Amino acid sequence: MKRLTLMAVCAALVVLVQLDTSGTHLLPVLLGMALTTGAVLVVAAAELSNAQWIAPVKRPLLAAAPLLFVFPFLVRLASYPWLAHETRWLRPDFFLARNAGALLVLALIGNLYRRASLTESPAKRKWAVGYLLTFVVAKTMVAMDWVMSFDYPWISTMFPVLYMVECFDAGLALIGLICFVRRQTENVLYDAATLLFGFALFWGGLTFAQYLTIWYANLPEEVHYFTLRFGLMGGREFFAGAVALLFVVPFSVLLIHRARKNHNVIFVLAHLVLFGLVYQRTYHLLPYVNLQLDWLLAESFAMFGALALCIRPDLGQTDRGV
Amino acid sequence: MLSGAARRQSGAATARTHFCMKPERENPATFFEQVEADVLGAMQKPEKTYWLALFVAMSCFGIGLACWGWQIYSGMHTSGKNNPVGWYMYITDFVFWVGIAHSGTLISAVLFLFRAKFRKAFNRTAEAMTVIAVMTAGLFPLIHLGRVWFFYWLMPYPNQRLLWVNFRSPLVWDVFAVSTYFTVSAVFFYVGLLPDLAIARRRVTGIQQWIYRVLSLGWRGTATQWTHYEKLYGFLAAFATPLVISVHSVVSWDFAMSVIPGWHTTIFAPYFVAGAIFSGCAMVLTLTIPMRKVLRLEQYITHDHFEALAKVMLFTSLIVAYAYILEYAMAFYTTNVFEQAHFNFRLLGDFRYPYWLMCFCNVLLPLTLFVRKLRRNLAYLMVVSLLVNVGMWLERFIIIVTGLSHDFDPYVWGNPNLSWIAIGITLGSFGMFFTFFLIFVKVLPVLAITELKEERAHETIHV
Amino acid sequence: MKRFTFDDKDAFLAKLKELLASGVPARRIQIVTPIPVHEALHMLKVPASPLKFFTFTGALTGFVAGFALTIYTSLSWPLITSGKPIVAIPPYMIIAFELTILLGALASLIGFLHLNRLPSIPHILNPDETGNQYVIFVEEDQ
Repeated sequence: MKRLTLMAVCAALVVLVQLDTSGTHLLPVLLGMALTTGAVLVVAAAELSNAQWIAPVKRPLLAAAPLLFVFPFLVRLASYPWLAHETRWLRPDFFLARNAGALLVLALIGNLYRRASLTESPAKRKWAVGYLLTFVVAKTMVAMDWVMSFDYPWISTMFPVLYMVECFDAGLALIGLICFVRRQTENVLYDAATLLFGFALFWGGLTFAQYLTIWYANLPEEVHYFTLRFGLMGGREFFAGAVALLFVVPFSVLLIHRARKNHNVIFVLAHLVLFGLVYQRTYHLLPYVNLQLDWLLAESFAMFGALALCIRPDLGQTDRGV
Repeated sequence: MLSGAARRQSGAATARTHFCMKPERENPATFFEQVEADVLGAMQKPEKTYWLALFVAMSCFGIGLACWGWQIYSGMHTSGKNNPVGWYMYITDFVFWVGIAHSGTLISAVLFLFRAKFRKAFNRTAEAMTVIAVMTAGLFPLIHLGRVWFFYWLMPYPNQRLLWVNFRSPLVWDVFAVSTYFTVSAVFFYVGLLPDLAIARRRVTGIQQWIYRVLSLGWRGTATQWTHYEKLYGFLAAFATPLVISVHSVVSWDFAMSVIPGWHTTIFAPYFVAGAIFSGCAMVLTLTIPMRKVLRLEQYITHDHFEALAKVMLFTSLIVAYAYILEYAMAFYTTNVFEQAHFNFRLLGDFRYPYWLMCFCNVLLPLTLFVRKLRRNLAYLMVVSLLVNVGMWLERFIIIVTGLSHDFDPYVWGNPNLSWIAIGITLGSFGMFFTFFLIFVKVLPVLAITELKEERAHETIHV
Repeated sequence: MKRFTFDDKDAFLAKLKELLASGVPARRIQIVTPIPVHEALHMLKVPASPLKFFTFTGALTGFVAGFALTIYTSLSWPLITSGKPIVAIPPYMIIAFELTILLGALASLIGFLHLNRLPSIPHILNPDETGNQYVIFVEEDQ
């Protein structure tokens, strides 16, 4: 029954996204992808570095892996400027094929990793490495094709890297949420919070690096990216909000060691981080996507509903780990 | 901690590794004495091979100093720099040595915060490597200045001409970043050494003992001393960690802040940091594999430790490979003619042979480390680490020279001149590094004795 | 001054426990160990180290000093370089960040030396070497 509900919600999501021509789908889909791929990413990275602390939350996090299979069907064209004059890389058919293909491979490997990890098979490290490599390729393509190509021919080589770091942040935020729901502290919360602190600092550094490089050289074709968005209503606010919520607030709060053990604080912080991601994506899409509230609500409900339905059954499961 | 059963199984193909120094369950007190004897025994009177190595290193250092002297006398044209290649081998060497330094701090500070067990076999050597490499790196902006005696103009000091440095320049950021890095690394190195210096003063006599007594500041190991010490060590590790990322980012911004195609790209900061850790790990391997053999420290630095370090090297090589591919892909993705021309020049132009060698050493060769057997083979790791060092030096060289020699206007394209002085000074920098490292090996304990003792004490409680 | 020397950590901890249980106040007990023994520190109720105040002060000073130095000097000699504003905050953040770390680390070191009263001239001149033994010193009751 639960599985049927999940499949129905996923089908609804696919239908909604494919029918939505406004480009609004990008916001919930990118966020959902960040959370889903991020959840599996955190587990894979933790297991590869022999981090024992991930064991209690491994099962609910990996429960998101089946949802990866929906993403190849959520690939669609938005109102990209290059549709008018195509290049060898940016063409509708190649765009759809490579993105759907990469996300499909990611889903396959993610689920194979999930199976290997949950059964503690000796091959799990190989699948974890496979997932990491596929994640890098798929996420780079998503960042470059889905979002960065709106500003074609503007490029920033840091752009995909920021997306990948944000996925990791989303995975850590999810751990915070799970720990709160289960009233679980232990090492999991402290270690996830410490990693969140580190990654907040890392994200801040990378965002600063991107901004500084573009600011310093002051090349009109590069700076246009920022001036365009700052000129729009809400542009500066979204950028400042993203920096505050993804860097300043987590960094300042998590400096205090006691905060890292308090699941109420981490719960609020996880929400702030996820809002920060929303601001960041909105900031990227601001000049090109007219967010329609009704599509946004429907797609968000479907996306996060599907994610919740995936994770909910495994929420109570605690693996003590070996 | 691992149960006994898991330890016995560890020889099997399970991924579980354990870093136990001595498998026998012996009395920790005798282990304490043993580790002191082994590590401090390495500081005994040196053998002939040591003197030979020191002689070779000092000769190279001497050659470097002689070349530098000749350059100061003759002028900067001897360095091979010209128009348009205004930055050539000295900046390559600068970035190379700063990069090597970063891995030391990663192993000491970052792995401390991550509570990684394999750290203790390398951290003292890595910290020493950091301090020496930063000193070596710091010489190169001075060598590059030409008029070395004016180096203090880079510092913001009040003067009667009311001049100040240009804080908007990446070169001044470098001054602050590298000075901070040197200071903090030296402090971290010294603080880590304090209890070990106290051990050393106990086991030597004469003038040596006086030196260790002064250096150890009268350390005893009382309760309050240990409390403050552990706090300090944690704070220094926490300060050194952002330095690992920020200092090499600042160095990369020397290039990224320009408008040169191939230089002006936003990914330089994490790309250079990953490259730095990559080359630094390779240098740690180059130093510790022979050191372990010569000083007979096989039981403290095991194959498990080397495998863990090889994995870090593999991971960072994948990041570097990603950056290579991404830069290339983005150049052709965009319509920018200059970017495309630059990357074509890198792959097929005058410097294609160093470029292909670099790709082999940095991207293809480390992929072999996916094979577990090769990761645990010390001879193979030694070869890989040497080639990675070559590859990473070439990477900086390629970035700098191809960027400058082939930028916007074809009329000003040009290659740098081959310069024996520059090669001599580069050789001298290696000589300086190995001279100081060889001195370190004989004067200070190469392993963190107190940390090894702590680890053993904890193992015997929890097992 | 009574002195109890142990080669084994467990015996050392047992004796310490016994001394504290028999009513000897913790302030008259001094221990010297080759490695930090957290159980003993806990038993003696050694207060948490106030080092963080030194660190925080140093870091804050560095942060403020970084901006103060850069902003004051650029306003004092205003030259437009590469079209950047006279007071250019993004580059100045780098200087402030580096100085935060530098002064934070140095302040921590100075705080450590001050709190431990190091360098300790009496102990440099005449170190009471306890080696790898765990030693308990108990001051005599006045």
